[in-house]
Amino acid sequence: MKRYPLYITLVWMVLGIFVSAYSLRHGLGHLNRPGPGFFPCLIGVVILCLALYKLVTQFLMHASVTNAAKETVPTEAGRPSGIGKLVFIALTLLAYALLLEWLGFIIITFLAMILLLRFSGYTSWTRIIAYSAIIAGVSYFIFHYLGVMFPPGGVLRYLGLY
Amino acid sequence: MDIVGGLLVGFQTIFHLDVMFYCFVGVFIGTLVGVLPGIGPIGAMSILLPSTFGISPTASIVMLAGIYYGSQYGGSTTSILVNIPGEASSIVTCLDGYQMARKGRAGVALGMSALGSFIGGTIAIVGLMLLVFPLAAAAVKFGPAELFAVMCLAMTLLTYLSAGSVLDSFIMIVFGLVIGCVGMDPIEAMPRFSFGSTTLLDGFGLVPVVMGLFGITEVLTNVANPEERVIFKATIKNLFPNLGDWKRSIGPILRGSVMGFFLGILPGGGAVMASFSSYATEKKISKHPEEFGQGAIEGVAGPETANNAAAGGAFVPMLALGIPPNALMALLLGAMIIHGISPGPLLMVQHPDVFWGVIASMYMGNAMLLILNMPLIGMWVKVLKVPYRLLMPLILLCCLIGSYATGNNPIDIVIMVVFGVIGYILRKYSYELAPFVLALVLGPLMETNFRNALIISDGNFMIFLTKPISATLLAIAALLLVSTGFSSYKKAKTRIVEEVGTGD
Repeated sequence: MKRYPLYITLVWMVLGIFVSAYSLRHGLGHLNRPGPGFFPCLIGVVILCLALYKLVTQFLMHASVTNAAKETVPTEAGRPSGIGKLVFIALTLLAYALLLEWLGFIIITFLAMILLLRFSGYTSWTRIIAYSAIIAGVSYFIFHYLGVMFPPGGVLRYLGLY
Repeated sequence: MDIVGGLLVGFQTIFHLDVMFYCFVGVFIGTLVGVLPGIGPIGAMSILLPSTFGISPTASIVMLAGIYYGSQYGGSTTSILVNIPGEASSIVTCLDGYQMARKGRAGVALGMSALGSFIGGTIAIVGLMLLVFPLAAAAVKFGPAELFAVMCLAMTLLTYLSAGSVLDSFIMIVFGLVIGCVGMDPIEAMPRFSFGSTTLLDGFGLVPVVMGLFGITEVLTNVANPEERVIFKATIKNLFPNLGDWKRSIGPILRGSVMGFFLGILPGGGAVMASFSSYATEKKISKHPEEFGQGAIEGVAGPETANNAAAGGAFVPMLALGIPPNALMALLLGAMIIHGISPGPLLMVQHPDVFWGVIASMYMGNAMLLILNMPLIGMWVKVLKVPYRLLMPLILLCCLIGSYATGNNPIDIVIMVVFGVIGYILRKYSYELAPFVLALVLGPLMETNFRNALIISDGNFMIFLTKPISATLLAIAALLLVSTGFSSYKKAKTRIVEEVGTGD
């Protein structure tokens, strides 16, 4: 059986159980005055039922296929590809979120652009640094003009530059 | 207010320099994101949503709506010149548009696409004006039970018309409802699923979630599966189709306009289904079906008209009932709510300037798009040449800024990244993301109406079945569910038989 789709179905089941159970803490109320937990509990049960149905379908599908061709090796179709690249992008974005208020918009954007441009295939460091500086500066002015308030950053404050 | 009076109010509203400017910005950005790969209208609308907080609600909604219908124009350019659709609704344009380009008729294909889009868009606006009045008048009489039933039907239709598995679409809808429950309970204002976090007290922000699901997911998908883009290197000339082209195209354009408009109204129908239906119809009724796929101009004119007409049709349920038929409209609905406007039957009474302003702006926006896409086509061809390695960091930066700017809170960036990763995984395993967004937006409204209906009826579930409108809508939803379940069962059975047969 394809493992990854099965894992996702299990996640739906866990989510359904968790949502239904956690909703009880918020109070179901009564039918004539449903409490805050009533609706989430209901949809938790629905997602659990849908996931169970999907699980049964996946097992039935698997059973019929393996019965017909027992020698067929279960494939790992849909295995995440290029996972390292995806993790790199996700971590860069998370680091951006964590350092944004400390380093300030311009510095963190400049650094993030260096990383992302290098990652996306640029090899010349002069070009990478120039592009990063231009992107950080131009985006600051455009979005600042559009009314977006950017954090100046603790570093600039510490150095007395802001 | 009658239609003529309303339109006058609308044109008075938009003939202000700032509104016209934002209308232009909207259609320009719409065309740009239609042309560029890796960022769609949803991403662009999310990025620009926070920057509209400082401008008037009318200008803001006009700009966001412009991005939506503008992207339908831009999407065709890449289909014709690169054979890669800029938007899903332009997939079918690749079939004949690219073949026309290979035969040296790229200019005519682009011209017909722009002119057809203009005609389709304009006919849809007229249809929108005619249909929104009776629908809104009927909707005023709706109580909580009827509104709940309408939302149930909208969600059922969305799954019924979804391209992928119906079961998966249903799961995505319920997942969207679950995420919509996070934050304050809409009736008693009690925090739910916030786990003590002050950020989650207001629930997950629509912008970070949508940007994660559409912006970040798109980048991650492109990085994991890079696509080679070979741009057609012919000079583009003769943008205006000749008389023969018009003779062949006028039928497809008119049929595409009507078909697109009505399919656009249906939840989940939208521009994609409109373009495919138009192509299939034209091929079926054509005297030369063998020319389709070889560069038949009908294969460009019909679908391109239909997808723009569908973009107009999608405004009908949103403006008249406050129920968005697709993810883009859900985002527009979110934008209206942020600006303190409640979309629905009372919109044209409470905010006639916004209602008529949006309609009037669509006339103007379509005219602007015609200018942008005919004389300035060379500019978009140059935009096509921007390498993805430069675009990717820029798209990510726009997503970062967009999600941060909604609440000046870095946690929103974290939420965006988390939903980006979730979206990537779900998309990889063929889960559709649009039903999730629709349910996320409609969830709180659905819950409020469901609970209010129960309170009114003193806990009697029969309220949903004793009211004629609600009972009819729920019966239609139930019928659709049964028929969907039956066809899914038949499909699964056939698949098992086929797999057993092949021994795979």
